[in-house]
Amino acid sequence: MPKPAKILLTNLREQVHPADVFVCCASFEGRSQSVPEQLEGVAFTRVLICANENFPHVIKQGAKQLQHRFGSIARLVSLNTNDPLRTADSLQEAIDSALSSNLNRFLVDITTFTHESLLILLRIFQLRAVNSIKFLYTTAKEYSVGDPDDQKWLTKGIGEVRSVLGYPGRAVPSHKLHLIIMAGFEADRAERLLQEYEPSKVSLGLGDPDDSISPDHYKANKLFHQKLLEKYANVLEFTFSCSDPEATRDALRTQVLRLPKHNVLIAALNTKISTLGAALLALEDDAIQLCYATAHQYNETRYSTPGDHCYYFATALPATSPTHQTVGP
Amino acid sequence: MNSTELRNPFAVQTPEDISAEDIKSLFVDVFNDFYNIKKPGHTFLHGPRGSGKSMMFRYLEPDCQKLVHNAGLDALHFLAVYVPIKNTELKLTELQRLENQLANIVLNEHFLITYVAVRLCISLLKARVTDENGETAARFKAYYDTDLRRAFLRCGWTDPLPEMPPTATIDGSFRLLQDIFTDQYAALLAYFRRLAFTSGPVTYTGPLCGYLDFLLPLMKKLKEFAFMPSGPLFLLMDDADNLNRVQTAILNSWVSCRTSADVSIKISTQFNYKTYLTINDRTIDTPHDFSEINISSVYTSNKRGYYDRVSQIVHKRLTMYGIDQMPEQFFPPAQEQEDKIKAIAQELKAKWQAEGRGFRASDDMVRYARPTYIDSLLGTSKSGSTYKYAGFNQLVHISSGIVRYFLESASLMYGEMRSRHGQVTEISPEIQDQIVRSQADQFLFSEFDRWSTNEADKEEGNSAKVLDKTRRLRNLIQALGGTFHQILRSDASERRVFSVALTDEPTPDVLEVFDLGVQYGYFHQSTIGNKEGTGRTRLYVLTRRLAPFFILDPTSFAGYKFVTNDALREAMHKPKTFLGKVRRDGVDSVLETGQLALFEEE
Amino acid sequence: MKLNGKTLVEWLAKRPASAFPGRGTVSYYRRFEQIDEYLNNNVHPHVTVSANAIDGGTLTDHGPEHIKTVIIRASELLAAKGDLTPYEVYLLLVAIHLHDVGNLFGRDTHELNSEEVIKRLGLLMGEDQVERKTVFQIAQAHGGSIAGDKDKISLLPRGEAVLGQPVREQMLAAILRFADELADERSRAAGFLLQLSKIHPTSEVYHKYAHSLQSVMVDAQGGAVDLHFDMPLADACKTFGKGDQQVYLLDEIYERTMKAHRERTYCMRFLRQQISIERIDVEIKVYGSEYNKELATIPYRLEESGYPEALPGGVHACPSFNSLAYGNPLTGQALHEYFTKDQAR
Repeated sequence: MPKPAKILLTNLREQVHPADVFVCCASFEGRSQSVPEQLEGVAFTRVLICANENFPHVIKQGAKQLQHRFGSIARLVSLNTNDPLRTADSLQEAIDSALSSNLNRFLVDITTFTHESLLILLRIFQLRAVNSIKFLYTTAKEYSVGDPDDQKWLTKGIGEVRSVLGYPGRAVPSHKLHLIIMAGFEADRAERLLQEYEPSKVSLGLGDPDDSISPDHYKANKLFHQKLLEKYANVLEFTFSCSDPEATRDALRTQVLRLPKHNVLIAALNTKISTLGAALLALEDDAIQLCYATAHQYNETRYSTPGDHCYYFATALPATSPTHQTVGP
Repeated sequence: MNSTELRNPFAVQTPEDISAEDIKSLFVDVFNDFYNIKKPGHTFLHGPRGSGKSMMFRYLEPDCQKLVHNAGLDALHFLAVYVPIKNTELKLTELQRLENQLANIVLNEHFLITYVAVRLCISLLKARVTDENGETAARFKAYYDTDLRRAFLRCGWTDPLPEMPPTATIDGSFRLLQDIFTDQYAALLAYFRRLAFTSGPVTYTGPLCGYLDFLLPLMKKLKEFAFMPSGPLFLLMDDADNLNRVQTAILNSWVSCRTSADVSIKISTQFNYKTYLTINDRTIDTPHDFSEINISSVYTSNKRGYYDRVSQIVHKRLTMYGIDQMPEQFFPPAQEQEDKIKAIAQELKAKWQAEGRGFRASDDMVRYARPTYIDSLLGTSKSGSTYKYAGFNQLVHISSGIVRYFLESASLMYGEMRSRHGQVTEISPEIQDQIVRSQADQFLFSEFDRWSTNEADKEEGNSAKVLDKTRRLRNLIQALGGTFHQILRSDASERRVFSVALTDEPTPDVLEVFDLGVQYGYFHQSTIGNKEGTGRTRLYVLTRRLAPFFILDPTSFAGYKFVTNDALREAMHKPKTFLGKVRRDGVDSVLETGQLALFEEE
Repeated sequence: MKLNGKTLVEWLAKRPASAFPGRGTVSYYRRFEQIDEYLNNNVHPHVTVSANAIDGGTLTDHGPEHIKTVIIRASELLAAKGDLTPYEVYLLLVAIHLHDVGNLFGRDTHELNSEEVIKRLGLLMGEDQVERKTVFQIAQAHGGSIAGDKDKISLLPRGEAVLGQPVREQMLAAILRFADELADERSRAAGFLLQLSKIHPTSEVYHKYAHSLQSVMVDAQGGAVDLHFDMPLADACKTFGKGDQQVYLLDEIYERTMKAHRERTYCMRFLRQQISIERIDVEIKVYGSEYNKELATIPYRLEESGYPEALPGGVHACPSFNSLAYGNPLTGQALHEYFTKDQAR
């Protein structure tokens, strides 16, 4: 597949291919409206508006606004960041209902899904063998808006750390743990995960400098990585793409192969595009576990400002692997 | 640990990865303080992350014990099976599908047992059983071919079990057993995978092992073999907080069985153990079902013990790294500062006869010299940043009874020193101070957002706003830290205060915030005689890791203040107002009056 | 349960398939019928014979009739206020069928050996292992011990979902266990062999006991069980073989009814919500050579009454009493001496 195309949001409408179902996710971030705003009035048959029911104000404002935008073709899909089963069931129901109405072509704005619900959605697409999916991702102009570089934050604290439903991995109890962290904006979150899992080996991934928001920010992250290298033995470094899922997948695969005979756990903390890359690898290799950490607090009021561009791309999801079809022990 | 592999003598490595030889030379024996761990009997070991629990467990494993005692396996007093409970292996989200649907208990128990059984085989392999004439292997094969095979079949094993060849060595036999359980574990994972996206129950066709009908008899039988130690098997369940709720209840049911003579279960937690109920909703408790150790409490009551332990650990690490220095030399204090503090101490000594407060002159010197010095700095410079948090003694105090905190800071100091000077023979006081301060800052702000004056005003002005637990904890820390700083700068008879004791019964909303604080490591909980002398009350000690942040003297936390539940509640909701009152009206009128010394001075 | 004098089997037959797991696609009643037929034809008739061959002795009847009796007793116990779900009744009935089949391999640990038979039943039992294990667990708790502990029901999960339906395992196991306890009756004795004195001498009294048990009446509403024994004068005046000993029938009746009392006390711990049997009334009648001539009547009631007695041996008898480091036995005097010595040191 070609590298995702970066296009001006204002040009999106003329470039987007026809699709039956548009899927998006309401959020406290302004970015959740960027793509929908451009696509208002496009001839979709159905629009699935996902919204986390445990953030009632998001439902009240963001989801309402989206519903208003798309009118009668819009359907609300209730997700819950505290209850992945609820999220999975709602998504499944919505996708199954669309498929049973012969709506097979999906367009997904992945920008403001949580990493976890995005991964669950992708697994459902794979299990249902949906093969026409296109993705959209809106860039951010700034994160933690207005805060000085050394005090920027998106979330605080780590709540529950759990495996992502559908990606339990295939751990071998006698093997040691290789934790691959795709570090993102908040480097300290990477350290928290490292403390949480106490792995034998850590691969600390740094987003490609070309994709970084600012050179200063890249420098700050790099510095933090240096600190982790001092504090922890057995830390390996690598870089990955934040804007090309297949390149991300390949970088991760290389990293997995560096340490055979390890249980592999990937924590995707960077852009949703790179999370998609992690999913691509885990969807083809059931041995890999993906994890997700809930946050105690979100920087709701100043999380981000939308950029002018979005990425628009298609990626084929791998077919279900034979191990997945194993019937019972 | 091969020292050439490590760039940094203080880098954190998971104990699992450290060789028995390195454990022998690195481990500082602490079992005098924690003797229950080595004794038969179920034990809970509570301690914050990094307080050395896993290292203790690693030390008990047979490869280390054989080396330490220079003895064969059969001469040891126990066989310890290390069972690390990581988030990755047992607590899978898919398992939530079992709740109220399908055999939550039975399937989780089988899952847990399969995992423990693999770890049991790993321990047997680590123990390197000697079997020169193959007799042990033959006996083990006989057991496998009869009783064990039957036990497998009874649990519903339908796949053919592998044949154990007559030529199998004893290690080969253990490996075969390990493979059986590993395959079973994989089969279970495949089953759980099927649950992820289904709503109804999914037929389960694999075997089901229970603790009492499978694992316990297996372990008892193993114990009968001549190569085994005379004492019990220890199951070392490390970080059991990572079990899900039903798995925790299953483990508790195992504990409720009085099997200590054969199998003793040692459970480590980070104060977040989910329940003490068994699968039948009966509680297990201490001392009836298990003994209990709290590492933090041991080191709060025995401070010298902690200092010595860190000193030995640091010395061993430096030695292994080829640095021939005592910890006190490697982490020197800021000499000029210490000289000035000594001079103040001498002044206090001179004044003691006339206006002293303590029983002895030395009391006043210890109590007031450092606070007076810090206060004098603050008088001239607003930030107080010229006070240096440096010197081994101060660093040990700041690490608050948790070895990992010391090592983490030390590793960063080492890295910084190396990047500036290349060769490292000591850490300059400036770098010590800089790192310790930034660590305190990070400790606080990785959990909480920074409080700006504007936001605080807005939040406190909006009385209708319900603050979540995290924000209330943030406020409480801010209010107490600020109050303790005020006390340090006051002329109180004890200025080094890190603790509050409750005068009345805390309400649930106050308690839940403290509980969260304890879980995150901001507070340590203890008890103390109440004001009336009629019983005991809760005492919460603020971690001294935050001393540099609030500009406090970390070298003692002897003082404490009584405080009412209402005052705490105000601190949680309106920290700024609270601190304003403290400054205006004095500490005691806000908290409560009266203060006592917690510990004898060193 | 509204059984209207019917047994649980008859009740089960009337339940719709939708009341069971599988959303109406599986007929659990048919499954039960097949198991019932298979075991009655192929397994139960051989249990007694096989056990006798392995262990020696003459086992009382463990054939199809015994299973029927246990089912009747369970039905009687539940008649007043039990509220089992259809699926629980199915699991209970299958467990009743299987509880004693392990005797095929000898009496020792027979409660565990039913697993072998379950395996051989194959798909008759359905393919889900959790369901099979549940049946096994309910059945095996009727006797034996685990790690020296006879309290096996406590070790079962109180409740657990099986195939999407809640199942109260402890309760089912307790019903089975108590119903089994009450399932001794005259027909279990090998009457013909008794007449010919061909009972193995080590088992004589067991058959005499069963033979003398004229009736067992469960009054679930009134919370009582009545046991009536008839003893011919001749039997009252001689001893019978029991292992390598000789015992009187009356003493055997005392011992067995006391066991029934203990079982009642034990099982009621798990049954209070469902069944409340508070006493066992026993009546023993001794007859002369002419059957209608009553020579003696010995009635007694076994129940918890009055103020509870202290534990014999006091706290020292508690299994968990384990503070002997200070003195053994740890009396007030011993503790005093311990501390006096300590101070002297």
